[in-house]
Amino acid sequence: MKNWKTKLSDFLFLLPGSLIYLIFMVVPIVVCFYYSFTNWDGISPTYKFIGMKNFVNLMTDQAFWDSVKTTLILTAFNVIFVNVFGVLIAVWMDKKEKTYNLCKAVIFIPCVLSSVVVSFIWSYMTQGNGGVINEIIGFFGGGNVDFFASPFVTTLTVTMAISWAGLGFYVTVYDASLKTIPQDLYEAAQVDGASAFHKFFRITLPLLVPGLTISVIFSVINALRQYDFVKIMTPQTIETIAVNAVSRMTDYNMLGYSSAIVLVLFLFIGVVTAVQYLILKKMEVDY
Amino acid sequence: MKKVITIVLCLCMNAALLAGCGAKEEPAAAPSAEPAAAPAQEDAMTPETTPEAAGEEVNLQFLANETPILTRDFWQVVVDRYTAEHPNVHIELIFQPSSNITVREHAKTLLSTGQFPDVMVMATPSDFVPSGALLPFEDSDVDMIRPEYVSKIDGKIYVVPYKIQVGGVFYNKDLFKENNLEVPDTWEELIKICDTFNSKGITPAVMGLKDGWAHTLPFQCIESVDVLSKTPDWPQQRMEKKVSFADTPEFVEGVEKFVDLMTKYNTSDRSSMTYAQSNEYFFSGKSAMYMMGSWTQGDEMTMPHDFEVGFFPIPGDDASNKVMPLWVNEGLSISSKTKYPEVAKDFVKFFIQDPTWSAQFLQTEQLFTPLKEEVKYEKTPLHEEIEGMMDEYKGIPNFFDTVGDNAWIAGGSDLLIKFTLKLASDPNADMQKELENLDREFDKLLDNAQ
Repeated sequence: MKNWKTKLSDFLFLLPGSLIYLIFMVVPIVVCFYYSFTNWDGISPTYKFIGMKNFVNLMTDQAFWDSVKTTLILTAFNVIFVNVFGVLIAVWMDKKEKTYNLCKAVIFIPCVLSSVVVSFIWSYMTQGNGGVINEIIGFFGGGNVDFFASPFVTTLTVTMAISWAGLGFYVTVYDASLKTIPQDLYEAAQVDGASAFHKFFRITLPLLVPGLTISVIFSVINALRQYDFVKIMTPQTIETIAVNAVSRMTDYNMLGYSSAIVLVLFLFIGVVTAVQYLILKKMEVDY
Repeated sequence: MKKVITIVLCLCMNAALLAGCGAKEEPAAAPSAEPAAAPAQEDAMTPETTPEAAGEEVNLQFLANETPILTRDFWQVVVDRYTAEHPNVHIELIFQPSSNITVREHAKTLLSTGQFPDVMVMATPSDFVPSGALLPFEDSDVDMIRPEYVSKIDGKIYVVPYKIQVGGVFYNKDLFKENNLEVPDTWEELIKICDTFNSKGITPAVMGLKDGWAHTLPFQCIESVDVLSKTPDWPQQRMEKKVSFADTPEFVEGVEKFVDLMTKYNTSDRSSMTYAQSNEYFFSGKSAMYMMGSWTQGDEMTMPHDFEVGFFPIPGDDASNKVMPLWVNEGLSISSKTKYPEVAKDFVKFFIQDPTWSAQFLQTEQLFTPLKEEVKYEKTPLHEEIEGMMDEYKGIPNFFDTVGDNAWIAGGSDLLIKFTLKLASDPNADMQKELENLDREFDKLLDNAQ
């Protein structure tokens, strides 16, 4: 049985973190929920309660649905890229005994850079005239590529940058997950004459599912919330849901409406995360 | 003992968390259902009771607009000149934190966090007037400005304009001469000129889309000429829902002209080209024309180029409709919550009227003055060419930056910017569908307004 002093010290240790979580996570969500039912413009001293009007207007907001489409395309491509290449690079890196640490450091470097910095770098790299990528293509005889030729192409360009920036994190997650796979399973498979292909698909992948669960959930959440890259890299011809929400607040003085968008995004991410977790949890195996 | 130390350390950590939470002054009031309080009216001050006469230290914040030409050192000059004459006044210059953020966006952030500056560069008062954030000026405060450039919202003056800029077409005179082309008087003639350059492999009119605002210049000028010159209060009619974008033939025709310019007579990599790169493209002689504002004169003075630059206003369908779109919306405003309204007004008047500063300010970007009295400063030949045209052509407001009661509702011009960007960048965009969408979203903005 804990005495009061122990309970007090437990409580006090938990207090700073809990306060931070409460102030910066819980309170903003509650406030956002509240203002989503108002027409507050964010700067006036007064507002009116308008019930569900913001959510009803959202249903016919073409800009919002365009941003949903952009966000889903970005998410799909990004999640597939970082998870497929995350696994492949982690497996490849695992075999590199001498250069393992160097490989890990190099692959992780983009993750420690600020997303704003990376956005600016990719913005310059993808320029039509004088951009590094087009200069390289030109060196090999190719013509200029317009990385922002259409909204779809712009979305792919941004996804490329986001995937490059985040890949190191997922490689690290898969690498850690690989380390939990018992080596005697591979030895037993080797004895049974299993090929590298069979070992990968019958041992590595099934036992990587816990890592896959974390990576897929994280990559989906990060992609659905994407703001920095789209805002900085693109000529504002595409918007993700987050960019659309912020522009409603800052450009149109519609903080109430913006809150409604953010709330819808929050609920959507919650539902998607729960569904993913349930599906992926069932896929875990134990040999 | 260890537990006591642990508990004390925990208490210190908690105290450190709260250390940054002290309010330095009255926090921003939470919004409520009560009517908005009227802006503070200061008591009449006699010369004996002004802060200056009383020897009181006055601290003002001045939010200025930092650009590649209007640098921090540039703005510091006027602050230093004023504080040299008023030693008890300290003016802190503040700027937007990065070039991706506009002064308007930064001002909104400052307002919502209770840090609205005393004096600020203001181009969109309609964003701030509904919240009572700006202090109205008296008529006597703007005596020095030509009346046609003073705009009012609900009968009150919120911005003292400090410059006039014009929009039109900068062109490569050498390229025009080589191809035996004359300055066009009508839109049809302009298109023929564009087709001529296209056939010669020269970009007729470069315009980059990357920064999300530069492309609006030709659009604004076209719609000013086609719509505003015939119906000056069209924006107000739209905000009263008497007209719509999709059902106004002149507006729709203006959109079609704009789309043609952006898609048929522009560079192929326009989507990744920034405003700075568009400037460079024109001044390196790769584009025959460049549709931009008169601040381009600043680049004309600083960017190397080996041809003579000319200017003509964007033509309409009718050669006799000689109009020139102007920007008269930008100037200085004062916060309604400033502790020193008289000092703030005095600084604004100094900014506008001090002959030495005025000359430097106007000369830097070769601006045009809204003052009744002439300001003497060194003018380039291009500037004199444009100034001559201002006597010949009738000035009309630019389409996005209409003023006074004709000013677009907050967010209205942003909707138009997004609308034009979509049409300029997406080859599959359906113009009719986008027009209907524009009307629908604009009506939502109007319905949402308090």
